[in-house]
Amino acid sequence: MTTVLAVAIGGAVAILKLQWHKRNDPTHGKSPYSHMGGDFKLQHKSGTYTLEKLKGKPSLLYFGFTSCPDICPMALSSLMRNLDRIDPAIHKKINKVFISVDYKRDDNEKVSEYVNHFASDIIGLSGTKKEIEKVTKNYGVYFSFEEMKDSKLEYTVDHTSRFFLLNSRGGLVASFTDLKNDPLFKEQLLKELP
Amino acid sequence: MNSKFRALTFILFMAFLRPALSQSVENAWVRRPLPGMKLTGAYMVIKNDTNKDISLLEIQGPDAEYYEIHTHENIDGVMKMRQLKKLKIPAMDKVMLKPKSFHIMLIQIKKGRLTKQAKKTELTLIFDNKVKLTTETKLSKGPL
Ligand SMILES: [Cu+2]
Repeated sequence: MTTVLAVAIGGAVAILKLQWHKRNDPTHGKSPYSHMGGDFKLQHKSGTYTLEKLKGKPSLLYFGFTSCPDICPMALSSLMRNLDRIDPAIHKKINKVFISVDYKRDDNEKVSEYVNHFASDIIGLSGTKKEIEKVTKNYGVYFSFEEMKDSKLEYTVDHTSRFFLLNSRGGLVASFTDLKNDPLFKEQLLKELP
Repeated sequence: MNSKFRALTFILFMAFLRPALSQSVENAWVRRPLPGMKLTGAYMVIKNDTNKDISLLEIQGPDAEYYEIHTHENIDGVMKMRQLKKLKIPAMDKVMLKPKSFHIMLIQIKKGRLTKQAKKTELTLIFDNKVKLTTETKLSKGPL
């Protein structure tokens, strides 16, 4: 509970900082994201996965869970569709990463199988409780296991629905909620491509 | 026949012609579950053309062990799914069940149901005024 709270507060603080920066420092100085993001250690079906492996190409990260009924499937299909719209050849030039925060139900194989339904080149990652708590805190992602007392689902996972853009050096540079209607998505993404 | 009687007959006749006040379901669809996934959502528009509020209490169908009424709330970018005991449709109004909002959740989809081959299915909605509506339901990838 306290860790969930800590993650929640961490996320809230990160968002507040972000907004403060946006308002006070729109063009000068460091990116508002410069203090967020960073290295992580997670699990891929091929083994341990770290930020190092994403370097060399820009990356788009999304945090969700596989038993998510419509938010996560819609996010992943929206990601595919909006990248196609920019340029169908763009897929080879970037990494698409889905990280499951549901460390109770999702392991690396389950996440890999899940993302494979959307595209064979999406990198599906899982993590232990500790690993997930760390990466979500660093990226300002809120998540919380919520009991559903009268539901056969038993619990659901509240989570931030947001895409994070990393540059080819692994630095967090931007984030987006609505890929279709946010003109900055295309602009920022193209800026990170060679 | 005096004119008063004629007028009364006319009013009664018009009352009879007036379409019955009713409730209905339109555009029902189920998101085709990903292979291996045991849950999915169902969406539709529920119209209440009666002059009383009604509530959806229960859903039945052939595809899943359980059907539940859920909603999604987006609170500062955090998506929260919650179960509802019932879904109220106010008098002379409608409620849209759609992705990221109200939906019916199919839980523990049965073997061989809602597969790639399936084209349509059905849902039965049970309301608090004892009305039971069965609707043909398309299977779809969802609005892209
Ligand atoms: Cu649901």
